[in-house]
Amino acid sequence: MSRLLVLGSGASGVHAAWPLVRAGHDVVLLDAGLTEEHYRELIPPTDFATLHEQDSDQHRYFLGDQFEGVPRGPVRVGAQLTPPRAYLARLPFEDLRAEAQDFHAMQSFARGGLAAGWGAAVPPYSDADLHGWPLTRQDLQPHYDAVTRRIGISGTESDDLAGYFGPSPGLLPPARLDSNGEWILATYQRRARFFHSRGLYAGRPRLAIATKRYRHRGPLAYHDMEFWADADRAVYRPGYTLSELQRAANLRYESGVVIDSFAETNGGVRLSGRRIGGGEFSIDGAHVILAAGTLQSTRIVLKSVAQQQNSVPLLSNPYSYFPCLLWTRIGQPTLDRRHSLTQAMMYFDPHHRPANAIQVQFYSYRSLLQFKLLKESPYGIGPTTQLLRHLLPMMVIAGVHHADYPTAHKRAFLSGNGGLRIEYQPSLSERRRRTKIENDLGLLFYRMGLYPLRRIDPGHGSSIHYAGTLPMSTSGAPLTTSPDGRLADHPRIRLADGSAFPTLPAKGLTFTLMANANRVGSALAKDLS
Amino acid sequence: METEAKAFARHLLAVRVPPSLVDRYARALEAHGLLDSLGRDPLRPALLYRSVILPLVDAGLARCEPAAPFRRRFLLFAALAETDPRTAASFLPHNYYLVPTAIAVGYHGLYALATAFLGRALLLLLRYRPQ
Repeated sequence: MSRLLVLGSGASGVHAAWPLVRAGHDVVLLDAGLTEEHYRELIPPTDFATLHEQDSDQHRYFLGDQFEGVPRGPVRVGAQLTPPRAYLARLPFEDLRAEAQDFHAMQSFARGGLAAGWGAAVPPYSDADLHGWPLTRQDLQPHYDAVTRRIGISGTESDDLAGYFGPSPGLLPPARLDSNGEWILATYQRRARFFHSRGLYAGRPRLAIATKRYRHRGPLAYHDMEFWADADRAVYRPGYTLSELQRAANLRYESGVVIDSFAETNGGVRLSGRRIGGGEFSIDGAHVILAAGTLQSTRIVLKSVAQQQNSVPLLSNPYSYFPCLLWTRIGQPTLDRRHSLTQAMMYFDPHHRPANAIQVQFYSYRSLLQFKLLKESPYGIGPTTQLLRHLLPMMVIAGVHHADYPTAHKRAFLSGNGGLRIEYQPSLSERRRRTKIENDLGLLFYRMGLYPLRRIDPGHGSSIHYAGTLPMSTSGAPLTTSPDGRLADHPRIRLADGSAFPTLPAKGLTFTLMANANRVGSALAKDLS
Repeated sequence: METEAKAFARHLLAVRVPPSLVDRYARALEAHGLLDSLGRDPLRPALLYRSVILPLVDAGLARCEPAAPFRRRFLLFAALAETDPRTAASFLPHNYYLVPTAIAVGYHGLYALATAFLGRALLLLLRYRPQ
């Protein structure tokens, strides 16, 4: 069989490679593959509270050996990229940095990609979300199910979000909620009819967490250290699937390379790039699946395909967050054993227009430490510290995701030095719609006993969800992809990451990235059989 | 450096500042390029030797000049103190009883507002007083 090349080891790359490897094809998975060993060795495998009270070396991993964990500017984007996770955003070459004003363009060249530090929420896209796609939920469902079996998803099918998530085979037991999550959902339940009449539905999140032993991972130890370490291997990381793939004789993992372009040769494709250690690199294959992440895949395509038009659309879920006080919890005890990820989820669709609906995720703030909040306080450090000591146990962060659709003012270009340049400017009506629905949500928060302290808009691109540059369509137009992932006019190149998403619904996209990559990989395997 | 760390500790911590924390503070200032950042700032002597002024200046800077070197140094010290087991207790949550929590929140909230107001006035006096 001829050699197939898959580029990237993130959420898309490993799940695109999986069906090809299982079908017996000779697959080479190409990856920059940056890793982090230094801090991993330093973090004892115990819970946050114990470490915080006892470990005299905690400053080394909480702040970093060069104190890089203490932010120099405002804390806006990537607060979850703690020193042990900072390698996820490291660039092996400076020319790979996207030029962007007023847009946060984070890329990962790490083994496992950005999902090595993701929040693990796995909402699938519904038919309403897929409006404008040449796909339906029915097309994606077998791939959601395959990925669910591969990564292990915990959750329930018996609350108000069951319809939002849809059926899922073999769910693991839901993760235990912390005190704030329990309180929010109990308050919601008491007034469920009122909230439903306003278009608000809440429930437990579905998370890619092994709450019991699953494929040599877990069970979740409730150490509240998910932003720092993976001692219990409970939260899914693409690196685990890569390790499984590496055990197959027909997969070769080639790390330490960055691909810059492709060229179609007689009966195949040649990928060219650089080795991180120095020197050039090239490799030939019969077919290529680009799954290097939206921004990198787009850079490679634009560099490789001579076009009059050198710009493409770009999507990124607008994101805001609200530090909220759960004031009705004053005087209530707090459970110490918990995880750091989403505790409760909400879906808010006040006008029954799914295109304008929003998704809300609630986190309790503890293991990211207080000093990041002190920096944001408009009051003195002393009194703020004292206030936080009393209020932090009842503080939650509500993260709000909005949908995004292509417009003429949200685009990515190939710049003169061969990198990407991004111009992203939402229209006035988009900004107004976002403000309106957030204000409506804020009013419902009060009815839930949640007092939003302020609204923080971390800026464009802060969701770290990027997509839509080479959208899938049935038109066959240049710089689009076919429904099975083929790049128009380049049938040996397939796109399996977010670049092929025509729109971005107001949900985390990683689960759909995995399912779509599995679909693209399966389609290639079927074509070759 | 030690005087400065002690001044911060007096304001922030319930315990004496351990010597290793002072060393770490010096290394952190260097890593963040803040070692000589106060320079000839007229706030410096007032802060270090008149501890009553420190919380007022800090609160005044919080809103007007959140990136001022003094405040960045204080935040760096707070981060170091929070991640040292000998001083972390000053950052751990208090008890959860309703009445003490409500009283403490009220007290510290009023204190925060008062120091912010007075601090801004003091900052104007210290920074712009005639030489």
